[in-house]
Amino acid sequence: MTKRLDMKGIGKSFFATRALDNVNFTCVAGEVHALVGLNGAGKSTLMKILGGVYQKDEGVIEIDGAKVEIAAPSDAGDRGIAMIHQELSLINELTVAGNIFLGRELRHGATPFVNKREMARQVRAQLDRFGLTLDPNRKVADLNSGEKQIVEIIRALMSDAWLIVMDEPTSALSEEDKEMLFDFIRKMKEEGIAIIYISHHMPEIFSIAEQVTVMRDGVIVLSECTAASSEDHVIRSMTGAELDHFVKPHKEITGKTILTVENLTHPGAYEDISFNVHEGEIVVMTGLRGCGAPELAKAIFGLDGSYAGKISYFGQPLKPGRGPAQAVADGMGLVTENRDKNGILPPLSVRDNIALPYLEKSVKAGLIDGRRIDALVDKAIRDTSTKTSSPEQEIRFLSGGNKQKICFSRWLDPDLKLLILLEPTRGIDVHAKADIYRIIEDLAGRGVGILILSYEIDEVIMLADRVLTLYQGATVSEYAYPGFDKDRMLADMAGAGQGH
Amino acid sequence: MTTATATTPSRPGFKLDSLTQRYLFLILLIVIASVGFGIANENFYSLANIGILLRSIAVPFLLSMGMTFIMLTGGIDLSVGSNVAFSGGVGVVALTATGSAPIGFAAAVAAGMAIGAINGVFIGRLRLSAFMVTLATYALARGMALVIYNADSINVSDAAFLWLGGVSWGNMPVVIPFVALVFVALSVLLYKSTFGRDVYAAGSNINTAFVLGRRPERTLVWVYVLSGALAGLSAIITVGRVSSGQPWAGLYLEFDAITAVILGGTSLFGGRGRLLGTILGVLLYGIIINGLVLTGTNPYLQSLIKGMILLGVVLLDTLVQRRNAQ
Amino acid sequence: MTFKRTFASTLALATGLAGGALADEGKLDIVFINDGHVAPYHVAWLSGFEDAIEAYDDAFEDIEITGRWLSAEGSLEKMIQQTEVTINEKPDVMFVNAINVDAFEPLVAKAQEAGITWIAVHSPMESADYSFTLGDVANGTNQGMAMCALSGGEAYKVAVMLGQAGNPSGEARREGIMKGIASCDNVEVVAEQPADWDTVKAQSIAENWMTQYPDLDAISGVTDAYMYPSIAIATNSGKDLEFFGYDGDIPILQQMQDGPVKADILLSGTREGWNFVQMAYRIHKGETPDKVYDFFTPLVMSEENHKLALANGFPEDVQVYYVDQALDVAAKGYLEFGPDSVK
Repeated sequence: MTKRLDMKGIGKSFFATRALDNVNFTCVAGEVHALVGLNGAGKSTLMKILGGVYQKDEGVIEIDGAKVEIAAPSDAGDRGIAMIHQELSLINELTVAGNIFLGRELRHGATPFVNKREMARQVRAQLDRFGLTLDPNRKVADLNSGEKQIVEIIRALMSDAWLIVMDEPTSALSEEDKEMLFDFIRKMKEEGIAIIYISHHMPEIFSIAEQVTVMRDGVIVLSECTAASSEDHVIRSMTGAELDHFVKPHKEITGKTILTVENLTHPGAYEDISFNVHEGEIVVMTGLRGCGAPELAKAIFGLDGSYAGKISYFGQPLKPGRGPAQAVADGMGLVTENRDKNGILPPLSVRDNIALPYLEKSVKAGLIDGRRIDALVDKAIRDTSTKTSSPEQEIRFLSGGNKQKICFSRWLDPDLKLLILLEPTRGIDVHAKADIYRIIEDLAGRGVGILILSYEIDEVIMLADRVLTLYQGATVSEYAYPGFDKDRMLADMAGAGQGH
Repeated sequence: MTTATATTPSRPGFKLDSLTQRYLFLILLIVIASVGFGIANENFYSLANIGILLRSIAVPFLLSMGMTFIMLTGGIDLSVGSNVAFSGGVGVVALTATGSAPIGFAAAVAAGMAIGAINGVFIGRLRLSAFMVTLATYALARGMALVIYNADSINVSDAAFLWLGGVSWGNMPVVIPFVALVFVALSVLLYKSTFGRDVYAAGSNINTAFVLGRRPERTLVWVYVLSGALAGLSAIITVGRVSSGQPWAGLYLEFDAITAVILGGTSLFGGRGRLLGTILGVLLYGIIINGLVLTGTNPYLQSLIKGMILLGVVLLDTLVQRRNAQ
Repeated sequence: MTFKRTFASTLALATGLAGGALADEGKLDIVFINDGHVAPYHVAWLSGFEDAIEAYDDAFEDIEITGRWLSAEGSLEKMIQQTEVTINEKPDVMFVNAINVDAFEPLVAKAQEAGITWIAVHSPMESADYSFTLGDVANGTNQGMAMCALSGGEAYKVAVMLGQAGNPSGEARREGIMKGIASCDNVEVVAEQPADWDTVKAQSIAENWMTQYPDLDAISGVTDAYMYPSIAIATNSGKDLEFFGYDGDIPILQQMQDGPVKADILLSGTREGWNFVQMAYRIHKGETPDKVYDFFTPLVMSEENHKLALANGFPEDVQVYYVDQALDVAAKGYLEFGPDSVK
């Protein structure tokens, strides 16, 4: 019954680039094998070879000791290997059961009519088996990210998958949903399913994985039992050096008030919110997904004007919904939570991506001064320690962390007064995270007021001068550095700490 | 493009980027076509024929330039051909009414811009699909042209009005240096102005451009107005070429323009492409049409050959892109 | 086509080299630039032209006759370019079916400078050497009068399908049809609509008419291209309509013997294609036809209908071909316009 996967001596090159070199990787049924490494270390290449997306140049793949060829994604599926993608591949308009049975719908006898009841019953049985309380008849559009992933996994399991590859499954999940997913993973282990778990999150890895393998620059640098390993050890192997831990510098907030939010209400999103941001201050809003913070941030940036209450900027009331062009002209910046949707300009170069907000300042006699842009871009790349082969590189080929740094580098302008950051480190590796924290502190040190939305409690505590906990659109409480209490904050976020 | 993984720094300069590859390929096709047609008919290289060739691509060239701007924003403009007829009609009517060529010119360009502005406002401000809106103005502008002309052509004899499209210096039509000037001006606009950068930004990711405060909705309006202005200029050239205003001028020119832009490697999804590619696309297309006439190729075959070239170039490009992405 | 042409020019080059300067009389190069090449009339026209070139080239040993045709596919700009390129090639005779004659005035002068005989096709041009026209008004009148004569004297409702707005040929045909219909007072025109020479548009127009006018008696058209869909729709909906065509397309002529088509104008593309080559040859030989020359286009009816029409006052001087004869000459252009007709 215990199946195993053996990948031996896998090698792969892209033109002159050696992406994988003599990689050995194994997987055992009933265990979680964590695969970690910085972006670009070769994890996704290895998984794409396993999934039949790429072809290996050398090496052997064996399942239960028998050599197999995986020439196409369908081959991987036929052999019971399922990839759960970060960008989910579900159809929003169908129900949970409809998605799971997509392409192999059950029918009433020989008729062309779909037997919805039977499909829902079978899905229900599977969900029960793993102790999941999800209604098979709900539309996928109404599910949150965690539930959608569960649907994908159930779909894979019902197609007889025995090996599930999960790539950063928790990057878009709230704390609550993470717990639900981990329970599910533990149940799958009991059922004898093997899981390859790609993640940057050390605590997650050490709580659910039996084995951890670290890749760096296309080779395996570490592979051991989690029981015999440690977070520091893994991180050191990933970066090849001791990770200099980010330590928040000490500072006094003495500057003027930049932003004053008074009794801001938008029914259904947030209610009666009031707070200030001062020069050089980092204010972090936190809560569970659905706490209303993104909507609030968008109202402040002028993207949405349908609210009651008042927003003042340097003492002047702001016109509701004045639009981002006015916000930028006023010295505000925004880094959105979804880099790929509204953060980057995919076909353009790194240079063009960075330069956009600086164009007007680089115009000489009506024309853009290329040299001034080059200087600005070079400085931005240096200041954010972005790794790119050249400023002419297309941004879509950069790793998530480097893309995020570019989203930041657009706002290093000396005229910036207030920067709004939505989930600034979502889906990026530890190394890039530390860089981003440093950029944030540098900006604050220059006197820029910073308003952050973060769902990661450790990040909140590490960065904030002041923390605002939100629950279902309402402020629960406010904490000032250094009086942070992690447990109370978590209770606030879950709605348990109201009125303390 | 260079390597897809960021594992090791790629080597810039070692490999040509995909657009440069495309341009070299187009140049190769142009050379092959020229040599081939030159062998089939020695007249191909005569100065007179080169003059004819260049003159025949002047109008498609102007329209394709506008179409390049639009396709860089991820849009499309099906109305340009009809707009040539409409703005020409307005120009000719203004000329006959006032007797002043400058007023005629201004009226033609303004009319072209007006159609462009309608497109731009619906597409940029109201966020309707470019295909839908310009399909409507395609019919609308042609209908208005037929009304203005009462479905009949109007003779034009004003020498100043006909100068641009009609006069040649020897074998060199004056429209050629004019078009070259327009190209230089548009290149400066696209590569050296903030507007040009905003065109790329709007086409790359309109949401990002919006959040960064670049007002992409305004950029879109101006891009369609620009395309309309170029249709107005094309109308003036067309009137000069045929010494008359024609209600059926510009028929199917939008397809020639779109074909040239696609041949030139501009992405249908926006954000990627250059004016140089469009020049090469127009030139290749023009040479093929000219050469097919010169060699007396059966018209039934001509459509087939044009279709195969377009399909071939697009197919080859896709294969190269895929190979590079692996 | 390509091969033939290349072969021909190679041959010309070879003879030229071998025999020294060959007199210009020994060569006749004809180019026909048309506005389209897919409508049934155009297809017949162009193939008649091609066949005639071959037949004349074979029949006359002393002269090498070459020819080709181009299609502008409806685009004015394309036609201008094709004309410019062709002038640069210096053929002997150019037939140009201009999309709009005004647009081609500057090019006529250029062609004549190059010593090319310019023949304007269908729409006359003042500056052209010759204009080959169709007598559209007279033909249209014949169709209209035939309708009157065959309508039986009772109230008779007809709908007329027109050409593209502003097209001179279409306008002239319409004028003629209306004139002919006006010769009696029982025929009423209930609808007129342009179908842009387009068979598909004609189809939807015919469909609309049949619902809108349930008591419609006949459909008249300025081209036979409209007859195909109209007849099909009437047959399918079980309507007993009568049709009056224009062009002499063979499949429509075939529908005249006991069929719903009552009269047609025998233009016939094939005949006209043959006539072009015949006339180009004559002009080359030094003949000078009238500057504006109307193509001979008889009316076609069945013998029985012709007798009926004559009895109802249809003028006797109108040239009428009976269906068999019309079919014969339409299929075999050489009968009327072949090399034998000029020998």
